[in-house]
Amino acid sequence: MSFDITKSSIPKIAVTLREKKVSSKELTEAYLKRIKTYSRLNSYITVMENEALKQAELFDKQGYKNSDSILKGIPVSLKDIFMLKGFKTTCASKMLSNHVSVYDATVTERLKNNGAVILGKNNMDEFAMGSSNEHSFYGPVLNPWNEKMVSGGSSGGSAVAVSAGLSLISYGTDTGGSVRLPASYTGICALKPTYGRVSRYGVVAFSSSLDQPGPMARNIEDLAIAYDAVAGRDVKDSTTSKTSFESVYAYLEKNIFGKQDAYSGKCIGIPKDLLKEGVSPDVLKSFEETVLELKKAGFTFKDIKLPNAKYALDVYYIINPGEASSNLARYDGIRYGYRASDFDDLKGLYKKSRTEGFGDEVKRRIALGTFVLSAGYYDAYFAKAAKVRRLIRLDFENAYKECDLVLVPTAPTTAFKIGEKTSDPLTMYLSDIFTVPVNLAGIPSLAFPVSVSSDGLPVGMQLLGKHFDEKTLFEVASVMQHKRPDWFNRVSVE
Amino acid sequence: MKYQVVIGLEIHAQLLTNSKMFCSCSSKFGDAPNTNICPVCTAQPGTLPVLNSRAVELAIKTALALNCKINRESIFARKNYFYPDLPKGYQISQYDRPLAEKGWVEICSKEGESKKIGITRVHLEEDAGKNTHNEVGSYVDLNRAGAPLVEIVSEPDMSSPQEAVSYFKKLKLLLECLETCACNMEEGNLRCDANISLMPVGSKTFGTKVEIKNLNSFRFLEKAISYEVQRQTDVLNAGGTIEQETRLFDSSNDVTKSMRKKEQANDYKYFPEPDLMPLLADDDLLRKIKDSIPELPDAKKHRMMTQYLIGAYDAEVLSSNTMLASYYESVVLRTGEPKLSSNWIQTEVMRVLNEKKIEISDFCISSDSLAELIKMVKNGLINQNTAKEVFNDMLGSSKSAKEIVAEKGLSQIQDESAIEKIVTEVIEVSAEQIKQYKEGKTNVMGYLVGVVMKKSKGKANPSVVNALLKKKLG
Amino acid sequence: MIIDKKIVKKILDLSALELTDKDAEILAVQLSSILQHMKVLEGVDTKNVNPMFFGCEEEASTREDKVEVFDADLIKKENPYIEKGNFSVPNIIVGEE
Repeated sequence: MSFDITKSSIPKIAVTLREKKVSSKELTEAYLKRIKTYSRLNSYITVMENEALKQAELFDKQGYKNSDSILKGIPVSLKDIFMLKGFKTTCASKMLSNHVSVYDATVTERLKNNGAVILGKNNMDEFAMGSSNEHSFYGPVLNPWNEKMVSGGSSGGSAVAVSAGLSLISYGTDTGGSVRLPASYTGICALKPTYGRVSRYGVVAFSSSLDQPGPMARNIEDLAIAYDAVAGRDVKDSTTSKTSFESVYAYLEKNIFGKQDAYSGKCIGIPKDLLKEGVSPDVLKSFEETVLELKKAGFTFKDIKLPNAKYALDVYYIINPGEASSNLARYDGIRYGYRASDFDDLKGLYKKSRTEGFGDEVKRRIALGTFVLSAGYYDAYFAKAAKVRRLIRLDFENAYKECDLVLVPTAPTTAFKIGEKTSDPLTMYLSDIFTVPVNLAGIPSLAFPVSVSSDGLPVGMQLLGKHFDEKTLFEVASVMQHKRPDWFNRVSVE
Repeated sequence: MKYQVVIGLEIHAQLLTNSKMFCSCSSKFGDAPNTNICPVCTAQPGTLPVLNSRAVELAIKTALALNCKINRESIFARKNYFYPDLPKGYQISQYDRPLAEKGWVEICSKEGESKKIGITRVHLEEDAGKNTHNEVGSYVDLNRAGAPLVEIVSEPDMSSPQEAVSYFKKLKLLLECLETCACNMEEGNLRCDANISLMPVGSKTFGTKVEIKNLNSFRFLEKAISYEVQRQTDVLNAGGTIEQETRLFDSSNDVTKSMRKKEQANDYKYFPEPDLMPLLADDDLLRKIKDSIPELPDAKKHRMMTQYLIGAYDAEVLSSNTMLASYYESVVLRTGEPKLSSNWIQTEVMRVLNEKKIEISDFCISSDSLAELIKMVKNGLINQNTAKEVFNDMLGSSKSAKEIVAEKGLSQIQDESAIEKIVTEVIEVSAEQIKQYKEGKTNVMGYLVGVVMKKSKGKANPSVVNALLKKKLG
Repeated sequence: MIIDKKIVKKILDLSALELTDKDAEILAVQLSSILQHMKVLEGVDTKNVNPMFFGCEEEASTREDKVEVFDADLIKKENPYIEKGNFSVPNIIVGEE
């Protein structure tokens, strides 16, 4: 190939495909080779070599018209939480280690309709429960920036795939920060869409009122294209919004790309209270740098208050396990999945299959969830947490009366050492402090990479938006990318 | 110690839709196991429920007919427990805010009086699959998993097994009339659980209630409740206490048996279903559905009483079945004889229906044909006895009443002089009877009429014969 | 309130899980952390606040009552425990829920 795929983008490759200067087969082969070379990073659970090449060859044979989707022939990867008919979807769990999907997720279907080439399924925290991708049946995902460090989770495999050039874009899911956090730790971009913007049909359910599939990419144009391909109403998911969806990429092309210098007028809110404690000096430094860049670019700033955001983790760790414990009740080995071989009776079948099939973190969350939902505790715990959740949402609605979007760091620290926090889940949970309020409120958040820390690890920031106002987030991120191109499109390994 | 019986019923009715509650699988009964299944109703990872609009309409229709208040907003909830016929490990139902509440239904209590039975709530939920068992193991068929149900919970307003049966029958009738449920108890699309407790007469505190599950025939319902009332009475009278539990009815021995006792009450960990948004029932929808409700049995009964001047009992019988009522009204329209038509249907027609165990829709004599027959009696063309003979002939053939009468020459003799001739003949040979009659034995008249009728081969008009005899004998 | 062995056992039963005594003890400690979360939230004034149980404010959506057939064999073919078309499990004692 005449160019370095790790330094390209979807629009550029799309042109190259149409000019027949490269074929999808070549692209796919190149990615498959890199996946092999960097297999130690453990980014993939399943690599679909044969199928991917077959698809690539088919698209090459069909040719690439200008009217074809810009994603046609483009290699992508999916977190192993998305159903892909005829192939395994394991959710990084022993429980589903041999489960072959019998249907496609809507996200999968839309990607297929766009002609994307699916390279494989990415590693993740088991059942999406985790912030470091250390809780996988298939072993931890390594951070390509420093292989002793965690990649972040739960969409660690997807983040590493994009960061290390093992796929052009990837899709993860975000329940409490699971696309944004690994994006931040690996130096790439990610989007958690407004709740209801992207279909959850075919996404193994974790916490139903919080989950959202989200795209991950190295730059804003790829992120927008990835988002466009899957967003919009799905009748199979009753929680998807009936509001119409318009292409973000088309909007950016028309109004923003090439015009970033002329862009101004947005007011960015900063919740100073949230930044007082627990944030590392590196992250604070990067935060201040980001504010400076945005000021230079013409944005104004306002101090805002999110008085109830400090309760977000407490609320999250009651609602999330509650919903998750119910969502995971279907895993019993009867109709599919892992089934124990040694049990005496029906009760034994359930207990043994589930105890042997689930990892420790999953079992812990299920137990927690059962507790907060059980009779006698429901009102005090689950229902009370739901009320405080409403307050957190209202905080954002109030903040948006005074600003257009909010800027916060993605994580309080850079990536930490593998094994450092696994013994104390509570410390692990604190990584989610800036990401969780977003899921609770249902608002969108775009995570983008900024300066590298003093220990050579990436730092990321988040732009938080109004409900269904992803457009504004993309606009601002696009200006950011224009002003600091050195922060974007980084490749973490050769 | 005298005890008051307190009974409440929970009825589950499968809604008459084509597809299941939350997926597009067929909800048809009787297909080969696990053929009407899909990722959603087998709880494959990642699947989500989507609500069936027709199920909502039928449930609202049912609730309106039960005089319930429809909640403007109702919420779905998850009822969590582990059982092989429950693929998701939870059932999607409604808990805190159901579809409808606070309704009532009228039944005939034993004294022939009306009694109002309160309806606590009506809500939507999905059915579980079906388990079968043998010595080796158990087997799960998920064809029924996800079928749309409406659950109707009554207030504990019934005080006897008969009232409970009356209520269940009334509900079945209503559901049939509304066409919201197929009401086929053998197929299990109408099921009943009973809650029974006793309290001392005059007391204001309810006793401990015992639940009896799966009473799927009126007979079983009555027997189970009767047995349970007696069982609880015996326990209390012996100084014991009633344990809160769930029991099953053993129909081979007519007793209720305890299910395995659990250490504690079931904890279903109810919480609002996050995959389904709140259901809104706006006024337009309610009006549209209300307009689609046909005349219900009670209203029909009262209207028939007023319109046709028939009594409560007759009206009750005729309105108990939509098609029967329709048949009756069709006959009346043609004959103009509500009382006569009512008699004919209740005696002759229903006799045949019961004997042959068929419904009026399968009855071989159409309302037009029956009306024709009745009109012939009304107009004096044939007498009642002859009409019965013709009726029976009509059962066996497709001929009309007119045809049969003509063929067999069964027309009543209209010519009075002909009848008079026969009367005269009979008088001549009945000197002894006439003597008795003149001595005051008036019932001899009946005998004489009988002889005339016989001589006329049944074709004389009995009232004419009667009149003539009286005239001649003085 | 103390999370004791009895509560842990009840929770494990309700979750259809079993743990070794050692792991159950660890779980008890971790469950106690939930109480910490709760203590914090107890202090928040939520009078007249409508709980937020859903991720969004959409209205219910429904689908037409139309039958669509799914290839049931796809679901059954990978399952080694199908007998005569049914999913098989150990004997359920009738009457036990």
